[in-house]
Amino acid sequence: MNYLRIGICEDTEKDLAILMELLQNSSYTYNMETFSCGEDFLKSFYSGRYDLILMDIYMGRLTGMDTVSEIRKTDTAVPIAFLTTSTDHALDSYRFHVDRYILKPYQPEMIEEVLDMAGKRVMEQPSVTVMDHGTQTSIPLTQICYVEQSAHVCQIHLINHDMVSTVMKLNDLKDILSYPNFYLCHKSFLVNLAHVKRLNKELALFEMKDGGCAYIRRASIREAEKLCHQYMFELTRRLGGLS
Amino acid sequence: MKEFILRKSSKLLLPCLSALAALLMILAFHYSSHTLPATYTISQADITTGGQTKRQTLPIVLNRLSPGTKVEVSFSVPKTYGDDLFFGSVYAPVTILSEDTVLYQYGAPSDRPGFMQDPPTIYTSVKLPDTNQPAVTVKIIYYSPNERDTLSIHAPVVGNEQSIFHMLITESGIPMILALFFISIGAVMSIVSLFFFSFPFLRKSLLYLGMLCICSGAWQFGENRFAVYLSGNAVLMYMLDFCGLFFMMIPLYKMAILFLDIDDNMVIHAVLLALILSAAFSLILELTGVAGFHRSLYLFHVLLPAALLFLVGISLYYFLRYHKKNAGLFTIPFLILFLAAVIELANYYFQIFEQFSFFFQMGILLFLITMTIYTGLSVRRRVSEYLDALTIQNDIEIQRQTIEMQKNRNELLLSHYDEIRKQRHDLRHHLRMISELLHEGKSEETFAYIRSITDSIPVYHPEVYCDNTVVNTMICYYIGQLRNKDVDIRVNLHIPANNPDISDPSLCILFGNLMENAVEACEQMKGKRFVRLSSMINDEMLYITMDNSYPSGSIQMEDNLFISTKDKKRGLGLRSIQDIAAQHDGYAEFHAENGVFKSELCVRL
Repeated sequence: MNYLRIGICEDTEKDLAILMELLQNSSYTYNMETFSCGEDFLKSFYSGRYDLILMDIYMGRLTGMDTVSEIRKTDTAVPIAFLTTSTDHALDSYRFHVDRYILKPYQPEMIEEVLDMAGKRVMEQPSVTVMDHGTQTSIPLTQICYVEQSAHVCQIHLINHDMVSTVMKLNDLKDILSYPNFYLCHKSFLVNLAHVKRLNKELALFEMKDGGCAYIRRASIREAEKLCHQYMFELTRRLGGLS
Repeated sequence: MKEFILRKSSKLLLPCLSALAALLMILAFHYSSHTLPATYTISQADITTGGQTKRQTLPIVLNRLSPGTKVEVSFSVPKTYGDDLFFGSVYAPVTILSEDTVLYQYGAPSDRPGFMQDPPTIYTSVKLPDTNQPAVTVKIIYYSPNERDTLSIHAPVVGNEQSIFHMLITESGIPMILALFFISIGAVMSIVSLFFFSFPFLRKSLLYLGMLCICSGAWQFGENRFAVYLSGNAVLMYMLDFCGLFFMMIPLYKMAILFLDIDDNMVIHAVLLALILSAAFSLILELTGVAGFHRSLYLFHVLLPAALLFLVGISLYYFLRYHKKNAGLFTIPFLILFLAAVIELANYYFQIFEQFSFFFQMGILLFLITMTIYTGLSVRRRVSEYLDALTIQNDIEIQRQTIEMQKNRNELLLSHYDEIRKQRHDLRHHLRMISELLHEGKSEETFAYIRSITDSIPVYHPEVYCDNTVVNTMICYYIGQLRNKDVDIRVNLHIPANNPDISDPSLCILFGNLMENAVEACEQMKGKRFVRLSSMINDEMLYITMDNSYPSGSIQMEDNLFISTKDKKRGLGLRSIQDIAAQHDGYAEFHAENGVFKSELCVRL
């Protein structure tokens, strides 16, 4: 699957056109979303949305630095490459784990190398393969937001608002999903704790980042809260490179 | 404070259990007694006063007797029940005759202290003469009291030792046990109170409660027929009885003032003073022989219920007018006491039941149970308030430190301004030099000059840990304290500069306490030391983790709060963090394991 989802933030139209041309000539198929300023990028961004982000450093109001800082608050894994004319800020950004610096004018080899890196990262992600209407589909586990069971069908809601339906029992699916973040909070709901927006105690449900809701069985609310917090704190430690 | 309540209840436990055991024994005795012969109560007698004889039913109260009137009570005693005659004498000298033999005499002035005009009440039994006849005549001669115009004649009881004993136990056993229970509890509480000299509220409440228990126990004991019968020392019982009764209201009032928190009320102090004076005055009157306790009693028959009613009134007043919750809680117990007192009085005057003082005993018991529970809760609340006050003080201290840090930061910035001015000046100078050199065509020297300037540009590493300048300043300050001390420091913070739901001061207190904690722990230990601080934002919630090394064995859990064995401040710091987290829709938890102290908290931004 050489399919990449790329997010680009570049305010100079000329540079953007060159970049897009170089990407078209590469061997990868991709879905590309472009923004001309950091604020617009961040408005629609959520963790797991892209497999690769190309970010211009010098932009209008919100610089590339600040935008990446915001991105890293919620997504530490996505590869980010800065597009810049100089290596002046190389040291400043070490905090944000920026993976590459692409110097302008763009070299085709550099672009290809960055795409390779992103592609490899995608392949390395653990994923699960299910039958969706006869077709075998491989879903990276990090993209699964939550799973809802109705009748004998598991509806797997992905973080990009897509949905994959597969005929199987939720309990069986739970056994396949080896990612430790999955939690069976209800007999018909399985959530990925990484994509929980918040836990609504009054209504006993998880509000998920894609807008959906996963109900929690009443008896498990305290357990759900505890697991949720545990996950958050584990993630916090991991982000700090501490565990 | 749970341990406090545990300790208190365990103190009550032993006397409770012994009382219970005694109760059960009495009940067992009662139920097993059906095999014992019963007693026979003399219910009719010929009573002769002033030359007139009349057949009357006993018990009876004769009125309007002038002091020293001779009253003869004659009756016939069947011998089938036993040889022992149980009888009582209420403030009257008594002689018992049977078939012209004097069996018993009591009440001569040598039997009592000089200041007593009447002998104290006595209950005792005498052995009737051994005859073959089926019945025996007995004559009891009373001389009516000097200080009363009534003579109370109880119905004598015939039986043998066991049956009389059994009768007394069933009717007066339980109240006597209760009385002893009260006295012992009161003594324990009063003694324990002395140990709490650093907690005035607790000390006073225990002391007054203890005194109240002693007084009411003494009164109940002194009044108790069985106790009087057993003790044989009528004077002691008399003193216990009346002193207990007269002085009882004083600790009760002191307690009311303490618990209702109305030390400023003049009226209640006036009433208390009146009670103290009445009691003291009665004591003086008794000891000087002017008027016996049993005469002052009539005053107290009015004074005590009135004083209790006053307590009901004042607690209602404070509850309704000032909405003091304590006052509302106390109205019911005081009302119970008042009603019990009224029933007690009614019983005394109208002779409804044989038993004296049982109702009031019950009232007091209920009251004491309420008070004990209340004391425990009250103390717990006060301790919690005290901890809160300490926590606030701690927070203020951190705020003060924050201000200091800001001042230092400002000074640093100002010095930077000077630095920049100097550099701008230098730049102008350098550029002039370079243009001169180029003008003279000295390109080699120009390169050398530029190189030398570049080398001398100072490397500037700004310490920025997060976007929030105030928090950043604080973190810098603490990191600075740990620098060069071989501590592994890792900080990964994302704190926005502007947060709608949490203020910068609150964030400072959070991070201040966290860092203070970690820095102190590191400074107090040797070996591998580390501080790892990290944060993450998810849906407007800020998650913070702090892992730091700590000296092992220095942390204990107390009330779910970590207290350092070295100083109490750490417990307060963590408590402060928990308070702030709770105020901002979050929570905080702390674990200590394997040499790592882990703090985890979340707040809404």
